Amino acid sequence: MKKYEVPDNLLYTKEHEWIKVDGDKAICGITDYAQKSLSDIVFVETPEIGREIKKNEVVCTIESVKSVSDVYSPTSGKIVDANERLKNEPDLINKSPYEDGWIFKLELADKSELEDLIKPEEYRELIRKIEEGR
Amino acid sequence: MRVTPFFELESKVGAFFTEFAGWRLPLHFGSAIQEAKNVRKDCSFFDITHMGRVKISGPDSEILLAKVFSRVLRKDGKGLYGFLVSSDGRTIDDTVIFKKNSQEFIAIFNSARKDEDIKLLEDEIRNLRLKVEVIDISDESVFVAVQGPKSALKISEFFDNLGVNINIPASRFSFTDNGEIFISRTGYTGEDGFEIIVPAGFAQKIWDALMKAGIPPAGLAARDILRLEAGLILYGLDLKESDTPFGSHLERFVDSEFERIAVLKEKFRNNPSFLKGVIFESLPIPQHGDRVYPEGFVTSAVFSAILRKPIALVRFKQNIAEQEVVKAETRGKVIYGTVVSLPFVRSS
Repeated sequence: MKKYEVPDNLLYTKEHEWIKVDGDKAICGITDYAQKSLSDIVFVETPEIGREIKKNEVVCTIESVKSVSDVYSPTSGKIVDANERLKNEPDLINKSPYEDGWIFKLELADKSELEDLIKPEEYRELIRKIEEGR
Repeated sequence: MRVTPFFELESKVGAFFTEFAGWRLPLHFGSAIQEAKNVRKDCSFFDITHMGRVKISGPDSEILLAKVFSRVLRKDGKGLYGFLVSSDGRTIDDTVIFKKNSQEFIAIFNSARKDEDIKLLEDEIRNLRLKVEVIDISDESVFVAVQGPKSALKISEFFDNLGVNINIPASRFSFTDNGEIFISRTGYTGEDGFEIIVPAGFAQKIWDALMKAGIPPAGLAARDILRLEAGLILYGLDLKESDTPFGSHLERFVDSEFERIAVLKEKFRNNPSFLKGVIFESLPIPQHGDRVYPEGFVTSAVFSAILRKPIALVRFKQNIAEQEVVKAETRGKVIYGTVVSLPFVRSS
């Protein structure tokens, strides 16, 4: 079975988002597994900067060749930045899901929420179970 | 969940799998768009082992097919695309049936419909007391489709690599069957290509021979883009039991000699609907079942690799003329599209 990239320095959600925490701020995107399950991404509606969002709220949508998927926010906070490059190069998410394909930046409202997120080891286990169950 | 004999080999080269009709099949190998483009300019292969292959043989085979199949197979060594139709005018499946001789045929069925198809054949055989045998050969073989303008060139190399000497069918819908290997000049992409049935034990050898001939794998997502660009329907989405080939750009696949043409026409008159191609001007890509105005619904849609726009087949209540503008509602958004003639993309 082929492996999906799951970096050790990130936290994850059941909906296949990742979050990289840096002090009071965090960068978010979708995982390698998520981008592969979507296939080619053709459009990303990047979120509005300044918007306050709650944990698990839909931040934006991603369209691939066949389907539309919602991106949920891993934590509550305020959106302070969005990856404008995705407007013209949505496939950056396919090419580099954890680096150039980041989607939005949050100012964290409540750092204790991070405790509910999934650790890399558990996320690998989650993907393994999904793959086996299919 | 079933897997094909190619599963491990596909995993090794990075396939992302999806579930389709009870099978675990490769959705893509990295990029569906690149895979679709490669089929348009070069050639790739699809693992289509999930599709049903059925042998129909016996002295009454032609009587059976005349009852249930919408085409008249006249020439040996040729196949025809058409529909299996029940006595009450239900469209049971779309299929290609190949004629070896008047007593031997090979039919290709959609995997999700194979059991229904066989049941239809068996019922007719029983009712009419025909001397026909229907044998499902799907499990003992693998099935691959080599598709693209360079198929003819590369398929010879493929058979050389395999050490097999076989006549490559020269014209569309012709085929060769040497008892072990079946090869037809058919496909589901709108491009030139071949479909090949080989004994299941050969999977590794076939894979190696394909790789050596420079024929890379492509997944179901690319196949869906290509078939829709070519304006080819997917039974179950674009055409269902209750639909008829009439009004769906499929009239030419029902021969006038077909006995059940009358019941199909009557069904169409009583409950007409019209399948049309629509190019939408903007995203999102509409989904199966989305509402369209004038009254209709999306039967299938995809983002075209070539046109860089969403393309869809839409079933309308009324006959909508080409160039007419229609609108669809998808996920709370309104998108506008134009009715066009099919195919969306002409082969290279």
